[in-house]
Amino acid sequence: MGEIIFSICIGGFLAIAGVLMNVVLRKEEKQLKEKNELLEHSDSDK
Amino acid sequence: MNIFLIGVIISILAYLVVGLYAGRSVKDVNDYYVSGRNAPTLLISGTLFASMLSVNGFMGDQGFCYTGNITSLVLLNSLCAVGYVVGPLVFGRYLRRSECTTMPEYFGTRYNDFRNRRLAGVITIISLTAYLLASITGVGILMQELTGLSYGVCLFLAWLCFTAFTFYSGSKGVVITDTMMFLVFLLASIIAGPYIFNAQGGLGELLNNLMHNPNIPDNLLDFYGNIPGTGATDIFGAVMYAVSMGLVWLITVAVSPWQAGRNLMAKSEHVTFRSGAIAAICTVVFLLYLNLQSITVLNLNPNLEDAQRVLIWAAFNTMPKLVGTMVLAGIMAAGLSSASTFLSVVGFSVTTDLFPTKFTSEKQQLHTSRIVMLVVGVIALILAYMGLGGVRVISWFASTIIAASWVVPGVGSVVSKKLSATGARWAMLAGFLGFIIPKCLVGFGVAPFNTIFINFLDPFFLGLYLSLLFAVIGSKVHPVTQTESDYRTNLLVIPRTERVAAEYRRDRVYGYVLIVAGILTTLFLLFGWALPYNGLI
Repeated sequence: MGEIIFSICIGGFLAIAGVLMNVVLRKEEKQLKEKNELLEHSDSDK
Repeated sequence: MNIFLIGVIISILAYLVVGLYAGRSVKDVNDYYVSGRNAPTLLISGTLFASMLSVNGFMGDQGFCYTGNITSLVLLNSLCAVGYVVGPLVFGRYLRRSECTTMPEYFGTRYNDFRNRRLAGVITIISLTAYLLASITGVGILMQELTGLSYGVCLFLAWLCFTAFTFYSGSKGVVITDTMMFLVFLLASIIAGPYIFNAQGGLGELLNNLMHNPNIPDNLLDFYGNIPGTGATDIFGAVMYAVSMGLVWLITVAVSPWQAGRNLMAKSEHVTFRSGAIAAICTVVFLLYLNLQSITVLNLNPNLEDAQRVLIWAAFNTMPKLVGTMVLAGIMAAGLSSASTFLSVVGFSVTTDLFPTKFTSEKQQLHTSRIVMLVVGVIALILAYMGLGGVRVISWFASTIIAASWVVPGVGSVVSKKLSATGARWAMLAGFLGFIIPKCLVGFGVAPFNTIFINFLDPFFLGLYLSLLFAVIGSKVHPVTQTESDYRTNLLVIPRTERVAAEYRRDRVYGYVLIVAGILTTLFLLFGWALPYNGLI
């Protein structure tokens, strides 16, 4: 039983890190969008 | 001349040529210190992982697996990997945003006090010189074994290789050779794996062979591993060892100058997130693959006299000479890449962080930086010849001590409105002394400390607790000034160049890759080990 929980934890930590990264950055992007500060293109592309 | 000597010489020449060629594009101090602040994801992830993995990662850690603690190491690594993802989000991106050239400079600028910069510089120099000595010594011993040349000659050859391009090219040379070395040990290990697995019937037979092997260490296949190997006396203690050490390394990769400091070179903040994701996957997936190779040797030769040489034994005995040479060159590359990073970080700090030096021009600063780098390199070589790299007490000053000292002032510089310059400085000093004094008591076996200071009372955590305490006291005694507060407010503003929607979309792809890698790792462990080992499939 311990080995099963262990296996779930090892991959789980990596997956949780991925979820955390996406949640934090999505929230940031949303805030920028609400304040109308999100750029569709970088300045160097214009 | 044996094939291993030829392999060593060819790889050293390749690193030298590429490292020195990179120096041709060094035009100013920014190029020399932070690689022009334009390194892409591949180079940052390469230098992150290569700097973290030294000779010890291929020897000491693999010996730990061979003697029964693969599960301890896998758990430790999986927690450490989280630091690569969280670090850039809570600290690394702000470090890059500050546009400083060294981490001590960041502490001086953020807290508006040169004393903070100097203290961080001193801690950097002490700790990373100790780490540098350990790295050079490791590479020297390994090269001596492989080539048959004397230890003194090997030490000089290794030193000459990384010092030449670090002195001339600075971070430009270090970041590109680190990535080269990362690719060398990554490819060598990937190619070598099937040879080692097939020598005992293939990867599919590994678990079955180990389960029927009477010579494997106790509890090798249990989730808690070989209990005495962790210094514990029961299952809970063994698991807590892995968890606490995993958290130590999570913090270390998130805030230490040879890891978080790599973010100073990134092309953008988004690159720091993506590089962290790649380094995290390498830490879990690649190191698991390497660890499996080490325990496979138990089915081929369960009685190695020196467990640390498990992969060296495999390179000599289970694969064609050319592949074996690649593996050994890869192990050496891991040591050289760490050494070049440590030397560069120490050299930069000696030049700029100890005294408020005013340079008359960028050209003069670049010239001075190169001379200092060479002098630091020569001093390191002399200390290594004196045998200090193998001294146990010296090793206590290396690696995680900086994280115990810097995590509170580092992360606090972003998340705390109340942490002042005095609080940060006291926290830094308390973390350093709070780590090293208990470490000495434990290391010298002073009772009862050697049995009390374990797991969450490990010297690292004692340093961390004291650091937190003194951060609060120092900030009460001398509260935050308006200048410090204003700097932090500006630091939290996302620069215009970082607000591009397409960049956020690309970041999310890396997040999804992390999730998929995590799920696949769990499935591999479940169906390759946990379920069959428990007789459930």
